[in-house]
Amino acid sequence: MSEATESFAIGAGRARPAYKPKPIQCASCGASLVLKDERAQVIVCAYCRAQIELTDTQANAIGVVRGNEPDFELPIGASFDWGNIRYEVVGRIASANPAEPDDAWSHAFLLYNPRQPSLWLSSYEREWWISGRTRVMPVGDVFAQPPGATVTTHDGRRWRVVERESSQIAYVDGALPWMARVGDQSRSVEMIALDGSGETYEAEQSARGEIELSRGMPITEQQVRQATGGRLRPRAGAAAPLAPSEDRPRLRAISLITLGFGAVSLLTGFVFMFLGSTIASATLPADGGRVGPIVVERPSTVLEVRVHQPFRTDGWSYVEAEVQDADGEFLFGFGDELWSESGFDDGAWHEEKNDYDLHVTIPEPGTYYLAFAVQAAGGQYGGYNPAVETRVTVKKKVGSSLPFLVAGILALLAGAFLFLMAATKVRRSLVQGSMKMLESD
Amino acid sequence: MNAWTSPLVLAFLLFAILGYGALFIPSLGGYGYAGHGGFHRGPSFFYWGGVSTYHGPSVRSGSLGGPSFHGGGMHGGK
Repeated sequence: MSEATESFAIGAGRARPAYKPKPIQCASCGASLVLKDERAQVIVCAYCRAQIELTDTQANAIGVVRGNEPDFELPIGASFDWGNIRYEVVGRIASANPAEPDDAWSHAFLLYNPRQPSLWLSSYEREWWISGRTRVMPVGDVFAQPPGATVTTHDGRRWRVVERESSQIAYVDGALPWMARVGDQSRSVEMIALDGSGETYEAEQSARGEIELSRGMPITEQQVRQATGGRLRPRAGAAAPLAPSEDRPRLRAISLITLGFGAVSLLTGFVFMFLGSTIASATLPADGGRVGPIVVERPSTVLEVRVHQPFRTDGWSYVEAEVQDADGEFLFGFGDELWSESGFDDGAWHEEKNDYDLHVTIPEPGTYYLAFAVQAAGGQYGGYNPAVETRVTVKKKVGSSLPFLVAGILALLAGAFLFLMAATKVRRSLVQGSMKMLESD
Repeated sequence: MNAWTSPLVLAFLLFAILGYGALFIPSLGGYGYAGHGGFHRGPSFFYWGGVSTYHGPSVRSGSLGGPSFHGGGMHGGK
């Protein structure tokens, strides 16, 4: 490592002097390794997997990386062409979310170029991001912000917090610019630009309290494939993506449209359910009677028939009705039971069902009648009907509320599903690699 | 690119608006209630929890007493 080299590079306006790869010897097995990045603080031996801490004067083995190598999409040494600059993968990290052990791991690839600041390429399932370290600080404590909160950075830009989470390093290899060990935990806050650019801004805090900041952007798997010359390896058992990264905002927009459609449909359904004008009403004697004439002027008119019996005491009755045409001929019938009961258990109780309603569609214009017949219960009720009257109200409705209610409920369910699809499993991988742009000084 | 201006999203928005408008057709036609499509038809599956409906003049039309115009319902034909 050379601090003079670092100072030279920052804001100097000149090309950064290239670092010449340095041969080192594994402190554990003695194998020859090549250190390409002078900022590396740790390197994992490709032969014995010993983790070697690099200082100015010596290389010390500090442990061994155990466990099988994850299904990294890119090997150490893979080239990555980005912005007309050729980078090389010199380090890799796989991280897991300790709160969700069944979730896929995030992969992070350190992209190194001897004349450029390093970049991080991150993947989660088949979503990709590329990012680099930034020195622009957020205003206030960004880790205290809940998802959805707005954060301002000192350059005046505004960001929305999209996720807060913890992660744990599960595997590491290659050379890395900070002391990364399996089991290290960190927490992070992921934000997205409010200007619609899609740019991301993240803050990560290590267990030691160090905070790293990075800015990045999502890229497509196709872009990654092109940048690697088509040598991208699929993750083992990786499922087909729900949608490419660039489709996420569109998926969210579609989900919002679906939710809006559902809400408007449901609202219309409720309006149709409650809106209507009374066209006939009558109070019939206890044994029933006829209501009408009911004049229907247009085909497929929807009527709501409401039947109510004010019970004076306990009892049961069955109120049925026929829809009759102008000649009094039966068209169809309907009916339901009404009852009132009371008693005394732990205390006095009373229950009753004293009304019902029916929606009916009258297919043809014409004059109609409703003929009601009321029966009282026999048996324990002694055959009497305690209701002394039957009140009938007929309302003409605007239409059927069912199409709107059914479509509204289905659309809300579908919209919620799409929204969750668009909102979850996004940007998780940024938590790991893209944040840690620690330079060796 | 702003997602709201993408052709796919705009096409979906148009589809949703047309779909909403199309819902008025069955709604104004009285879809789902007893009598829609004729008095011989009962309510649709989606109109649950309603009262019992009778679409013949008698629930005992096969009885010796024969059907009766007045008597559709639980005691019809008696």
